[in-house]
Amino acid sequence: MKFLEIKDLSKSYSTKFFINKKVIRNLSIEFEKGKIYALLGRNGAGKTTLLNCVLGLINYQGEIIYKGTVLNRKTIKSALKTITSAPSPIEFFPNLSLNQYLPAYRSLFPKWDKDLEDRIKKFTEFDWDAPFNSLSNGQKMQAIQILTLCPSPELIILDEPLGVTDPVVRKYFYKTLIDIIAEKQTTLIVATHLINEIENLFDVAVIMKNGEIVLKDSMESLQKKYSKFTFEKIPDEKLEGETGRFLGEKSILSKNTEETAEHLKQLGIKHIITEPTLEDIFEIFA
Amino acid sequence: MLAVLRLYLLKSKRVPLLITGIMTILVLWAFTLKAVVSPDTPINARIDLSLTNLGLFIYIIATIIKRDNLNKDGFLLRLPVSDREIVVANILSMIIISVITIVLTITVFYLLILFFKFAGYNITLPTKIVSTEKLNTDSFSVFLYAIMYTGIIFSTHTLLQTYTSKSGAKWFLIGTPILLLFLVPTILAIFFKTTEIHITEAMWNAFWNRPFWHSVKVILKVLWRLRLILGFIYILLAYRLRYLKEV
Repeated sequence: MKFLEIKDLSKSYSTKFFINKKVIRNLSIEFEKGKIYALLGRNGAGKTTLLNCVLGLINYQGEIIYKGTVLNRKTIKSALKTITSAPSPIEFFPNLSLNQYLPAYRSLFPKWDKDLEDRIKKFTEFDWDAPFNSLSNGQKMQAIQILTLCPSPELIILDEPLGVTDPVVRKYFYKTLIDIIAEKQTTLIVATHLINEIENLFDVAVIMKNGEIVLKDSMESLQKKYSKFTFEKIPDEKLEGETGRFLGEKSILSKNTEETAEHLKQLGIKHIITEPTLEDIFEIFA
Repeated sequence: MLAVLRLYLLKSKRVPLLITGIMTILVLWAFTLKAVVSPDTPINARIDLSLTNLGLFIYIIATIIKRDNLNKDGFLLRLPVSDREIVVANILSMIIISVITIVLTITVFYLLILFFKFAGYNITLPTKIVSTEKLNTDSFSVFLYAIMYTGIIFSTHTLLQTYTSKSGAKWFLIGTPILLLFLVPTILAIFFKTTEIHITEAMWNAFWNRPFWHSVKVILKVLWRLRLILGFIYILLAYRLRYLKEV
């Protein structure tokens, strides 16, 4: 049984009367249990829309199958018992404190991890009885992390989760995430622009462009498939095996190291070959 | 559902105090005015349900106006609760908060009146502060109709927001009646080729007595009689379309 399968998913938004804009086009993808997926793409690529479809927040055409069950109005409630997502701080009732939210969350998620809650409590440095609107943006994000991680979900969906938090909080958050995933075989789908921070965290990178998936692969496999060539002077002509050129750099990404190296040898251009980073892959594909 | 209800109640916990406070200030102000303007006449402390209706009315309007009331696009929709549970919890929370508000307001009024009485003021205190006589069909139905009409306006506004922007919905709601005010006389003037239109009762009756328009009249009459039920169904449908999960 596949953990999460998306089949032929399409989503359109009406921009004006009778004019629809297709945000996701016939997208199909599978997610495996216990793996971390980095969902990448430029603004407007359709990442948030895709995640909102999985969470049942918006309607769509196509099928989303979670642990063998097709998600729909009837099944989404039970599915959400094992799927958590980090909402934006503005989605919460501003006058309630974290301690007021917790009893409701504990009763809705039967597998609530009290030990984890206590562990995070020791790390946080804000008053859990203070209303949400009195917390700083970073503190709000910490509170949301507790509500997202402690329900012991099987699938965590994070959409730009740590934009405003300080580096220490971010590091702690990711460390906690890794611990949880290793311990509980949780699947994580994280959409973010902070590519460097998740580079050592994810198992599979999924890059979206114009509502379609243009790349899905592990970092190891990507670094085997692609090479980054850096020159003193970038050649004018397109090189053999060249996938794309980096903006403001004298570098290219190649999908065939041998062919590109041979072509450069013929042209007499000196070069250095390095492994591409995720940011490099993103720049070329997204 | 109870978890969501608890969150709604916590969210609105200050509302009873706020409304009681406002109503108390208003009543005290009325007492003061009466004491200044006609000091010899007794203060009539009869507080009937129309006053508490007003409190309830203010609260309902406030909750309807508040855009984030049902937490559209909010964290509640990410929780393992159904749409129905969210709506029911929301309505229940409104009822509970309203009842608390009414009880609190009446208690405070009662204490105020007692205070004035013991302080030596000439107060005619009825045996019951809440007059059940006032809870007749007329006053209660007027109250219900008022809520229904207000609800229709606000739910139409929120519904329009699904298809237009927030300001777009506002202008659509304000603009349509204004536009009709211009359009109807214009169309009539073009159709009758004059701006002096005399519609007599005979003409009016003759129009409605035509077979087709007679059927329309019958349907309209039935709809008008059912307007209270239809109005609330519309409000619920509009809320349903606007606020909840799309799936």
